[in-house]
Parts: sequence; structure tokens; C-alpha cells
Amino acid sequence: MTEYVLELKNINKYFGKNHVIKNVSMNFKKGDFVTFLGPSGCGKTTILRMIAGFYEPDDGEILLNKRNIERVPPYARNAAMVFQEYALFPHMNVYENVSYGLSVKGMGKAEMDEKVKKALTLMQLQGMEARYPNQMSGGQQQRVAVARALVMDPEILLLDEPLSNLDAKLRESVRVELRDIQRQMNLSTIYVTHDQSEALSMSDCIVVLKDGVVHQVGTPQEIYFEPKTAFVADFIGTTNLLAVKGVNAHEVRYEGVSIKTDKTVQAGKDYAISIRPECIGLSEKPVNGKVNVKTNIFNKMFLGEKVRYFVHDAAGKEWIIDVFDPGKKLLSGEVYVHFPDAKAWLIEESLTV
Amino acid sequence: MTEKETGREHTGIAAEMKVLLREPPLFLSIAAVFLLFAVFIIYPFVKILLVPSADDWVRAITGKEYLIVFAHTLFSSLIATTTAIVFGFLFAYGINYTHMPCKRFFQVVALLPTMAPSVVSGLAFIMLFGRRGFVTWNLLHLHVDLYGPFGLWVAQTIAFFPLAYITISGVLKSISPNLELAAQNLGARGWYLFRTVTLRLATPGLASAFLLVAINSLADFGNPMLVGGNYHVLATEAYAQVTGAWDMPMGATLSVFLVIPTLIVFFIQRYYLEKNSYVTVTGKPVSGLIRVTASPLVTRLLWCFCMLVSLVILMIIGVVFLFAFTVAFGADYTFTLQYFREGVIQSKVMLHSWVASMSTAAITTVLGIALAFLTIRKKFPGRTVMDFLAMLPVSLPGTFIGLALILAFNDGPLELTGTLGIIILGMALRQLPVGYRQAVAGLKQIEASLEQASTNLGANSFATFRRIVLPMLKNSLSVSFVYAFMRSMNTLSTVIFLVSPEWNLASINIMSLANQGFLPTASATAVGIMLVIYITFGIVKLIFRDKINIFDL
Repeated sequence: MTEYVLELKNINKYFGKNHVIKNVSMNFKKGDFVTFLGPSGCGKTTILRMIAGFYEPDDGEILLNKRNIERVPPYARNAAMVFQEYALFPHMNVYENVSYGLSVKGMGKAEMDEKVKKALTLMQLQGMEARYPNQMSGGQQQRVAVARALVMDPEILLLDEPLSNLDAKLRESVRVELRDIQRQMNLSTIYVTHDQSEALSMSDCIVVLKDGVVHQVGTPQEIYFEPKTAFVADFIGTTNLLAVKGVNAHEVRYEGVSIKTDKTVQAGKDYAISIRPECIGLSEKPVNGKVNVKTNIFNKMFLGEKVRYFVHDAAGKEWIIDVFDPGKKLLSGEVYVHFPDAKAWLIEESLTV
Repeated sequence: MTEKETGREHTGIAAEMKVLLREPPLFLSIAAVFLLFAVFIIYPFVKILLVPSADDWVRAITGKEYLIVFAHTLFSSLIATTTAIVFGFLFAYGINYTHMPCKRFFQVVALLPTMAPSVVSGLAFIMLFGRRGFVTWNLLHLHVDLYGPFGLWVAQTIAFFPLAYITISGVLKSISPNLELAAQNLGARGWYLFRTVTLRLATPGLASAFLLVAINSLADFGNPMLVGGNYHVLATEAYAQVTGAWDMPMGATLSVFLVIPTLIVFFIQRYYLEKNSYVTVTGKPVSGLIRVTASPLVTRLLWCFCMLVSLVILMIIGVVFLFAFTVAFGADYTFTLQYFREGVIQSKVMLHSWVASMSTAAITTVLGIALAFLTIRKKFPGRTVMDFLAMLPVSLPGTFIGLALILAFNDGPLELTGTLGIIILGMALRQLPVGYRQAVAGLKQIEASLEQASTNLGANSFATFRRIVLPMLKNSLSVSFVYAFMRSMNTLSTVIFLVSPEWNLASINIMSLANQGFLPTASATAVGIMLVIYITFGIVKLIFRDKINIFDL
């Protein structure tokens, strides 16, 4: 049986009349790095704040290491959080900031010194003990905020878009570091972000949220290649979504073109197909053994390692196709887009709402 | 950032002058402002320093009676400020940090006294606890005399509580809730959280609020006059020297003495505390997240405290109304409009007050925005001097301003003493910093690029000002208009030297009526002022059709 560090059971939350979290249930394995991913307003930060205890769920249970924490106030939950704006205490230096939680506990000076030192070393902040937040760069402040949370030995670490205030380059290096430290310490972590590349590159597990509803829970690969809803397919990366109709048990049809699928479909029912741009090829003539659709190139972008083509098919649908290792010669005019049936991922959802 | 960038483009006075001379109207208006300041600010303040002879200075410094007055002023102001700040803090903490019931009621009641003349708390004190006070005489049958330091302490604490509350509430609001959430997340709570985070972060703001209240209580004239009894403070002593002993130089000397502590306080606040504030470092507040860090017991205690303060304030306003509309409150409770007729309807003072305050509000609002536009958006030599002069009167006691003005404009080409003009001048000097500061705050919120865009499209400074800046500032302008009007209706210390038998004012009348024992008429006049302020607010609101909320000032 799997050990769950955190379990959410049928969580509902209302802000006034707004139903912001709708029946969310999920379990978190010990030591996992779980990312909540979704557009702003999807409820990801709200769930995080409920775990930290800043909001009460209106309905449902939160179990932290099998203990129901509904009646546990925020200061008694061991769920250290790193805030989006870091929330470093401006009137305390780095040492005082990092040791704050320990001194609240009444820890002895020697033990505290040692723990703070360890955390600062881990975050490469040695020698900065006496600095004040306003004397540090954004990246350094961010490290202090992480150190302040790590030093608490939290049962679960909560990170609320901690990288969003850093510039792109720094963000990438901190990403790698954070993940390293998390692995080393085998620390159960929940990470909130709206940045899909952050989510894909760091997580053991991604939870995609929209309008307070969990759309999919899965590994980064599952989320990317096997999206359960059209929203997930569209939100993660770039994709081509086709509105198709079931023909018989394992076949759907798009604009007269037949596509085979492993899944069982019902004849006459609406489905969607998602195909990633990199899974599609372009050629001047139809290719045998693949699905072919006749299209017209109307725009193209040379991006170095690839060329991105924008094409229209007979129905006026726009497709995006990435051709890697393109060479100097670019295609134009009438072309066939082609892909193997296996690359067409079927979504059991109608695109026509 | 942009400041620095534009600064790099034109550095040095010569370069700034060159830019200035390209726009003659701008140059002329700057010259006009400096001329106005020279005549109406610098000249009177230099004059008042020149009136006392060396002998007067020595007499004032060595005279034991004056040193006692000086000590009285510092002491009474210190204790009243301390209690006002403590009460204001508790009140503001209750409003901002708990889910207590009746919050809206508390907020409204706490601000009521700002709309009443400043002497109302002194007046109510006399009527409730004076020699023939309703509580002390009618209810308890006591023969006590609470006039003096104790009475002054109570009256000033109540009088300055709203200012303390408003300022501290602003300080607490500016602390990012994220910091307190972070502290809770790390295990802190209750008193520990309050002591290590909230209080520490609020300290610079609290010190600032303390100094602000201190300036006001040091300069307070009405309350010491009404309930101080024989306990003289500098403001009342200067008044006594001028009107009682006809010793103008000594009055001037004492007024200058009063300026010393207030100026010190002003400089500490402006140049030290503002630079050492934490609140700017913190992040944006999180919407929808109310920090509840107080335990149920603390919340209950705070609620009781807020209720008590609110009841005291309501009692004060209430007793003024009761005295105004009964034949002889305490003895004969028959309803009457006689005093209201005497004090408000048949009296010309209310009209005078209204005319003077309206003019003041118009002048300070217009001048404030013009000055702010110049100092914030334009580069010219003497910019910091202009800014300093515009803010200077905020630190000067009203009695000092009044005395300086009558000394300066008693004769010569600008003989203003005894006219409506000098009253408006005094009020306008006093309120100018408020209008200026409002306009500066408003302007800073408008991106300079908007104005640059307008200039880029062919509009000159004045067209830009009229068509871009002014419409965007409408809200903060109406706030400063209303505020200047309200303060001018209620001011006492500034105009005490400036009124004449011909041009008397309602706020002065309250004090003289109260001093002569005509308490009902004094109360009726106070009620009249409050009504005039409310009605004027209503009219301004109708005209501007905006969302000024006087309770959110």
C-alpha cells in the first residue's frame, strides 16, 4: 500500500457566491514533486492556501500524514510555504529570517545555529547572515525564502510561484537547484505555477486545473502526450485539435479522412483528436500508410532548429506543423500533412460546445 | 528611475534654465509662485523674528514663568499624544486585524470628531465635567474643579484620537498580510507574532503618527483656552501676552518658541522616518485574505474598547446637541430653537466662516495642484525650495502663522489687518500643505509618459495640464477641496489673531461664548458648523458626482 503524505477529499470552496474549488480529490505520494498547473484564477493558489491553513475549505477533508487538519490552525501545521513575493521580514536580517520559525519553537541557540548554517549552505548563502532583504537581489531573496522554509523540516513544502519574479535565465538555474535539493532531502513538495515548461521539467506529477476543476493528474509525459481533455491538450504545449466523428468501433473521420484509434468509439458521436506539431510531416504527395490531409501553406517561420508551417485545410481549419532539421529549402503552396494513426490521440470530448 | 534618467539629460542650473526659457508661460508662473511665497510666507516669518528685541529674547529665556509655560506645553502635549496614539492604535488594530462585529459603526463614529470644531471636546468636557457639569454637578453633586492639566489631558486625548486612528490605520493597512501569513506558516502566533512582526513593522509608521499628533497638540489653542484653567501653554500664553498685556514682542517671542519643537518634529518626520520605513519594501496585499491574528479573547476585549471609545465620542457629540436644543440642559429639558436661531441663523459669523472657508478651499486646491505640477513634473532651479515652502506651514502652529500675518500686514502697501482677506490668507497658508500633498500623491500615480505623449502630440505644458492631468486628478482634487473646507470651518488657532469685530468667525464665537458661559449658544454654533459642513459635502458630491467618501479620508 502506498504511503500518502497528503490526501484531499472532496474539497469545495466558495468565495461569496463564486464556487472556486469544485470537488477536488487527490493523493500525494511521499517524496513526490507535485505541480499544480493552470491559468490564473484556476484555483491552484487557493488549494495551496487551504493546505497551509490560510483558508478553510467549505466542504471536504484534508489529511496530512493521515491526520485530519481541519481544526489545526496555520501556525501548528508543519507545511512551510514559500510565498510568491517571498514575504521576507524586512526588519530582520537573513539569519533572523531563516531562524524565525526555529526560535518560535524555542530551539536552543547551538542547535539553531547548526540548522540555519546547513540551510544557508544548501542554498549557497554562506556569509550573508547579516544582510537585510533590501540589500539582496531578487534571486538571493528567493533563496532565503526557500532556506527559511527548508529549515523547518516540513512534512510538506509548499511553493507558490516562487520563480515568477526572477528573470528567465535565473529561473532556469534555480529550477534545477530546487529539484536537486528536493530529491536529496526526499521532500514532499507542492509547486504552484502557470508556466508549463516549469511544470514539465520539474515534476513527478502534474495536476492540471481549470475553473476549480481538476482536468488531469499524471506524469509530465502523460499530460503532454495523452491529454484527457481538449483544455489540457491545448494548454500544455502547442497542438492541433480536430473535431471528429465516430464511424465504427476503432475509427473516426475528419473531413472525409479516416483515422484509426486503439480506443473504442461509438458511431455518430463527437470526439476530438490532438496531434502535436512535431508528429506531423509535410510532403508534396500523399504518403502511403499514413493519414493524409490536403492543405495550403499560408505562413511559415524559420526558427533555426525547425521551421514552423501554418497551413489551412479544405474546411478552413488552421494547422501548425513543425519540421525539424529543415535544410535551406522551404516548402510552399499546396502540400499534404501526414501522420501515423498512432500519433493521433483521441480525446473523449466534443469540441463543439 | 525616470527621475534619474531625465536628471541625466539636463543637469546643472544652466541647462534647466535653458529648458525653462523655451516656455515663457511656464517661466512666468514659476516666477509668480516665488513672488507669492516671498510676500506671504517668507516676509511674515522673517518679520515675526525681527519684532522681538534682544532684550525680549533674554527675558523669555531667563524668565521663570515662561520656562514653566514651555515645560507645561511639552508635558501636556506629550501625555495627550501618548494616550491618543495608544487609543488610536488599539482602535485601528481592532478594525484592521479582527473580524469583530459593528466595524462600520466604529469606523464612522471614530471620524465624527474630525467634522466638528476642534474645541468641541473641550466644550463637551465643560458641559459634562465642568464646575457646573452635567455629570459632576447634576448627577454626582460634586464640587470638583477638573480644569487644568487633567482636563486638558482628557480633552486633547479625545480631540486627537481620530487623527491618531486615521494615521495608524493607514500604517497597518500598508503592512503586507503576506508577512504575517509567513510568520504564522512558520509557527508564530498571538503575542509573539504581534511583537516580532506586526509591531516591529509598524514602528516607523507609529513614530511618524506620534510626531504628527505631537505637532498638533503642541500647537493646540482651543482646548487649553477652554479647559486649561490656570495651566498655561505657549499658544494661550502668547495670546494672553498680545491681547491681555499688549506685549506684542513677547507674544511673538513665545510663538517662535512654540515653533522650535514643532520644527524639530517636522524635520525628524520628513527627513528621517520617511527614509527608514519598511512598508515600501513589502509586496502587494493579497485580496480577499483577511489576517486574523487575534485570539477570540483579544477580539472581545478590543471590541469592548472600541465600543467604549465610540460611546464617549457619541456622548460628546450628543451632549453638544442636547445643550443646543434644550432650554437649560440639566434643569429644563424643554426643546427650543432659540439658541440655534441666536448662534446660527441670526448670526453673521456662520456666513463669514463659510465664505472664508470656501475661498480657502478653492485657493488651496488650485494652488496645490499648480505647485505639485511644477515641482513633480518640471525641472527648474529652486524646485526643492518651492517644495519646502509649500510644505512648511504644516509644521507651524496656527497662532504663529496668525501673529506673523498681523505683524507683517498691519501697515504699508499691503494693509490687510481687520479684513476678510487676512483671514483667508491665514487659512490658506495653513491648508496649502494638505492641498499640495494630495495633488503630489495624485500626480505621482499618473504616469509621466501620458503627459509626454500629450506633449509629443503637440500640446504645450498648459494644454497638457488642462486636458490630461486635471481630468485624471478630479477625485483627489475634490478630496482636498472638501478637506480644506472642513479644516478651515473648524480652525481656531490660525484665525484667533486675525478676526476683528467686523469679521468674526463661527469657530471663534464658540470659544468666546463658552468662555463667557453661554454654553447653549456655543453648542448651537458648533452644531451649526457641523450642519454647514455636511450640507456642503452633499453639494460638492452632487456637483462632482464622484465617489468621495468622507469616511475614507
